[in-house]
Amino acid sequence: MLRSYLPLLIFLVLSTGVGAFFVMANTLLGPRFKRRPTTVHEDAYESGLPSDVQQGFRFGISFYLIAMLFLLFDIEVVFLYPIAVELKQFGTFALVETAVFIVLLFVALIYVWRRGALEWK
Amino acid sequence: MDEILFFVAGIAAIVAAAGTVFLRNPFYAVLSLVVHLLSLSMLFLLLYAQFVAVVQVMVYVGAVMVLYVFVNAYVGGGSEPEGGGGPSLRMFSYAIAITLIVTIGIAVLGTGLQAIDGSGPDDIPASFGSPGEIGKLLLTKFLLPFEAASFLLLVAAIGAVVLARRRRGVLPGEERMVAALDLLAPTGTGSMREGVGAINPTPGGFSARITPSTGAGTLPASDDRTGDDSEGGSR
Amino acid sequence: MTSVLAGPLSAINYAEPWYVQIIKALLIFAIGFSLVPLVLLYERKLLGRFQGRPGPNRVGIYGSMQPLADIGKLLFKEQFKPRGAIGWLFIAAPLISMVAALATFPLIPFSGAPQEILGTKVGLYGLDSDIGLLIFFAFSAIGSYGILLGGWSSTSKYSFLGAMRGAAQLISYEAAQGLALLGVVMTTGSLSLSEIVDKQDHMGLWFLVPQIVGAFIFFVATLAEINRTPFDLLEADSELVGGFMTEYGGGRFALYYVAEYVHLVVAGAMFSTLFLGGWNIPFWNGAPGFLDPFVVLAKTLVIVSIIIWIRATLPRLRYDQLMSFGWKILLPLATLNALVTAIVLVAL
Repeated sequence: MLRSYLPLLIFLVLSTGVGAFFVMANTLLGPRFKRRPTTVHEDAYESGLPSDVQQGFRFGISFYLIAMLFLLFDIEVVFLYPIAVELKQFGTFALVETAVFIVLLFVALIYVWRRGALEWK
Repeated sequence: MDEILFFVAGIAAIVAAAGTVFLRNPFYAVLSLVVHLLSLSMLFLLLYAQFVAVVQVMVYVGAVMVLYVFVNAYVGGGSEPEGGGGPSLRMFSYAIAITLIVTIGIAVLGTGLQAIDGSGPDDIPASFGSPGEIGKLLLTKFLLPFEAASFLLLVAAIGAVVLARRRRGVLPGEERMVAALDLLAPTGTGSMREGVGAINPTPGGFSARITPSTGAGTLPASDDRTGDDSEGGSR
Repeated sequence: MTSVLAGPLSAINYAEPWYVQIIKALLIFAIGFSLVPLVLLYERKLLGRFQGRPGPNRVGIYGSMQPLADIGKLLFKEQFKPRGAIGWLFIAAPLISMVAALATFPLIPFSGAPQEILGTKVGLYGLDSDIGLLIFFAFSAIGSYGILLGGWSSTSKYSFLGAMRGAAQLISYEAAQGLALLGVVMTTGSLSLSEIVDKQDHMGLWFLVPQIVGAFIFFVATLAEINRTPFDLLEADSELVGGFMTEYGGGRFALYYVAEYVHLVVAGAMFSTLFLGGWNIPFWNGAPGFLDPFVVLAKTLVIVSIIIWIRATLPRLRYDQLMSFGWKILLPLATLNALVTAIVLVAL
């Protein structure tokens, strides 16, 4: 079984190799300057204004909430896939289990929605 | 081939786990954890647990770690001082570490050493570790945990909303967040109040909210993102 | 069904000899990689026509050498890194994006029955596994790190905003994307992509018909996943300059571009595999096997054209609209679709 993953491994190795070339290509092929670049040259893009960006932005809590919700639904998806594969074998029993699972998650979605957590601010 | 991959993945997992603990910058620690989880997924695949391997990537790398990155961004990654933790917390962490070492020790001495020369069972069925097999197990042996999981997810959803609300408020009417680009501007920038010198935006502080105390004008929650200008100096 | 090997290979756990696998992987890689400039040119040409201009037509015949000229130009630029950028992350980010994009390419099945090539039976796909569909999701999850890290390590506010937006957008639509395919998986009873096509082959009905809602959700969510208009918020040129890739240039920028176009091709191929019956030609059962890959490519081309058409037509969404569309419309719809499909399947 593991043998069938060999092409994927080759793909990963190959694309990393090609990617590594692209990443370093400009160092190898690009123009080189004797002078050290000025500070302006190395600035991050800022429409000509002085850039005062530092690391450590603070970001809104909406992002956190969205990620948390995605985590829940991702787990739901992951749980539902194996059940979906076996749905026909188990018939009504699997259907009921799936329905309970989905409905509970749906309730969660509606709760989150009603509390306004899906409003992007 | 398997052996090479095993050692690559195993060493990567250990190094990345160590990195998660020792790296000071929380963002790097999270990235290190991502590498660790990817290596674990590789190890799962080598154990023929295909489904678990891919779910490991989907859930942990795809969701949990993105969440950590966002939390990191939310608390302002990198610049925060480390929390030392009190003596009781320290005792607690020692206790956990010792328990873990003992557990792993039992596992290694009990079965791990014997298995070192073996190559595992020979007759692994073709469907082993496939989603179908997992589905069968979820519907028979592990039915209760499966249903409990859905309930747990519901609780987690509620918890996320409640926690988020307690922290800084996300609900309408409590506090107002502004458009993404406004996040980068110091409070009150671009408003007419600034133009007439009524306020002095504090440079460097990427404050996301317009609060009454900074004097940029309180805005009704329903107001749009251009509210700053319309308020003018007419308070 | 004459021989055992007529069915999908994964069903009988067949793996070719290792040298065949290597040659196969190299070939598919070469095809996948060389599709990028072709699609790039195709998009520019088509966009030009949509806007009443000829598109690139100076380099080579009908501008056919334009992508090569572009890549050449990019590779001979000066290496650049903004002052505050975190070196190794800045380098790794486009690499991750491109590797994760290319790694989904071998999942596409190009043919049902394995072809007899030089005495061995060869399945025309890179990888056909019981978890094929999930591998697709896993790599798109990894791909989002390319964007996130690229934006983070650039230390430019535009990059950072683009990256954060992008990551939030990607995860928002990934949930809907996953749920939308539940119907397909339930009907097939497998996550193997070639079995999904095989099922459509046997039913004589593309999943587009019974799973029209799922197909719609998957299509829209995929547009968002591969950052195409109207969901290209993370590189929204008009407000974020270049989004997460503002600070990138040269070969590294080219990598992001390669990733984008591989994503485009894979999206088209995935949609045709999942909903348009893959290599199946309707009303022609005895189609010769060598046609299969061309049928898949033709269907892919149709979907890619539609995606480009959408790009030429629709304006960009506002970010809050984008989020609420994903969470309030697509996600509930996908959930309902899964539930209804389950009920119908069990009831029948």
